[in-house]
Amino acid sequence: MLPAFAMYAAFVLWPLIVSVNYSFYDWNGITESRWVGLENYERILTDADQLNPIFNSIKLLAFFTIVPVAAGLLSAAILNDLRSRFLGAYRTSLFLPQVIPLVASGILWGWIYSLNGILNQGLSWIGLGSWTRPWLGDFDLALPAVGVVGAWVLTGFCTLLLASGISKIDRNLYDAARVDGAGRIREFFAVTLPGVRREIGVCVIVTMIGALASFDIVFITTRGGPGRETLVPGVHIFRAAFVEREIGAASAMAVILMLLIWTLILPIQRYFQRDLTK
Amino acid sequence: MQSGGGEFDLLQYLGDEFTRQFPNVTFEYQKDSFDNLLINGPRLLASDNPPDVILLPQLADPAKDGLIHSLDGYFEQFGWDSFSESQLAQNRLSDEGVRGSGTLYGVGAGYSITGVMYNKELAEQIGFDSPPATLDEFEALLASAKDNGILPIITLNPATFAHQYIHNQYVDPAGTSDFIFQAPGATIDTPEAVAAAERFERWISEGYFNDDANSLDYGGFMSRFIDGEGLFMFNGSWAAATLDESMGGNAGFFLMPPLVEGNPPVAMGASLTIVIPLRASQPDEAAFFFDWIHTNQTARQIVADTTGTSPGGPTDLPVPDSEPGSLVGQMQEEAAYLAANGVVVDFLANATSGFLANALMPEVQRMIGSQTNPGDFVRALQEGYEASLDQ
Repeated sequence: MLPAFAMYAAFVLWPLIVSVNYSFYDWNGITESRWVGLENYERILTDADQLNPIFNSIKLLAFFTIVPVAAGLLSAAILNDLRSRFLGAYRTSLFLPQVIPLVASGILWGWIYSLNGILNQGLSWIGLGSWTRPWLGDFDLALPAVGVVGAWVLTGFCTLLLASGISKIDRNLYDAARVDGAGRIREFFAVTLPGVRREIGVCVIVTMIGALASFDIVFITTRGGPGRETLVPGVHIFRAAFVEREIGAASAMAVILMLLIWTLILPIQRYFQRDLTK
Repeated sequence: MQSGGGEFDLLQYLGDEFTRQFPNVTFEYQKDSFDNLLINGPRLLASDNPPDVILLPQLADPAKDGLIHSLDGYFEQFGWDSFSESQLAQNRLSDEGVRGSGTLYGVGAGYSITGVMYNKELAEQIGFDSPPATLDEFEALLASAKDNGILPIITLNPATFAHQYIHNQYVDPAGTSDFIFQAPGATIDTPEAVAAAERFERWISEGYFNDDANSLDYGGFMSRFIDGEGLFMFNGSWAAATLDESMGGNAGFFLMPPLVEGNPPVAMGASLTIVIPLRASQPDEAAFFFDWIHTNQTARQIVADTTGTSPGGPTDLPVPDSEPGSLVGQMQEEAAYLAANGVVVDFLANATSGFLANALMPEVQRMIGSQTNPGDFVRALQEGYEASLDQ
């Protein structure tokens, strides 16, 4: 236990304490810092422009959490039924995005979405030329476009986790359901879904943190643009800390983000961990 | 010596040539990307053992923090009063923290200028053979290109150059410099700036820019211009060598024309700024190297050949040699013409450290995407500027 705690303390607890401390100062990271109390927090919480990134990240939840968990459940259930020799290949292709570094994924999707990219080429080819556009430069569609990248990355993760959850469900339950005359769909809701409750919980929590704390994909594909449509807290904090050198303000934003994630995650975690059979 | 990567191999070529001429001085190099240098530069300056020379894109804050060696003594010692003062001014900082005058903190390893690159073949198609004399004439060319099915201007994301090219012709350059140099009370929210933004808006709504002006990166922007997509491109002297190589004489250049015929040309330009950290162990050698870059004929040639920028230095020295008819050669002449007859202003992006990311880039993108109007646009720029000054 002790070595594990030492690592946790050195790389999680200590930076956390330091960040909270910095958030009360006006500091450029180099010269003397100045105590400003809650001023950094006040500035953020009273400025709509500063809160906008948080709203954007909440919109991303739809793509980073709902789509991957739903698609993951579906494809895990199909995997469970499939007894095919293509199973391995299917599983690998779903999990591949997890293995590719996010930066590479971002660059790849940047090409896909570009004006001459394969998405627009494909649309023209099937006669939807009027739908082509520079996706990442479009004010209405840049955020969904970034969201799709997140969904692409996270669906494989959810599928794998949920598939392993399904494989642990007692086969007798399925047989019993069949005997009772349940169809595939009934079986899914009555046996599979309750059986992977905890795995769904893990998927939801991990992907929610992925959405709220996202940085890589947005930084590589849009840098927060066009305008401020895809600006998320991660990119905002990075800029405050390393471009503007406002370490105090950046730390305050990070603390606010952490509290927000906690507030959203804790009830969800409690819900999914509750044992419904008791 | 710390320098940026990519096209910033310049300092290494200069260092190697310097060692050839003065074998008792050798260099150790550390390369980094320009973005990383923007972020890490001040931390390097503050470290216990900084390099003797560092390429530093933004020097105002670190200079205020007392991290950079003053060059005032060397200015006297080497007689840099023979240099073009307008080129040095960008790297001066007053005691009040206003750039443009006061203590000299850096010099340029080359001084860039910006203007309009054009595709000569496409220009012929619309019958344009000499540079336009006014902004209106330029706009007529845009319309004519559009009518002939040619993309008038290809721009990268963000289209900040397109905005400032117009802005420079409307607004008194002294006011623009005050804004960028953070003079007390400086504002960009003026009727002239709004009028400039109105013209920018018209060019957007007329479809004079590429459809992906809000998402095109520098690589795609260059390659598509080289491939003949787009009559004009707004770019700087740093691109000249690449265009010479890949377009073989098919690329031309002129300075952005003024609003009123006969007015002096106003163009953005900046030095590739190199500084000496306060804690550098050999500041005298570094300063001698700085003087040598500006005055030694071989060094000046390296600057011109590597970056296409003007080496600056004493105004009576000859401009470096170049291939006749090349864009690089034309850049040298235009830079000299601009230094003598026009005005060089810094990039609006350099006004404050957060101005580009937090105000200029998103607001220009909103203009391109028709999400704002000229009045709100200029007001938002001023608000973003003031917000970053407050901090």
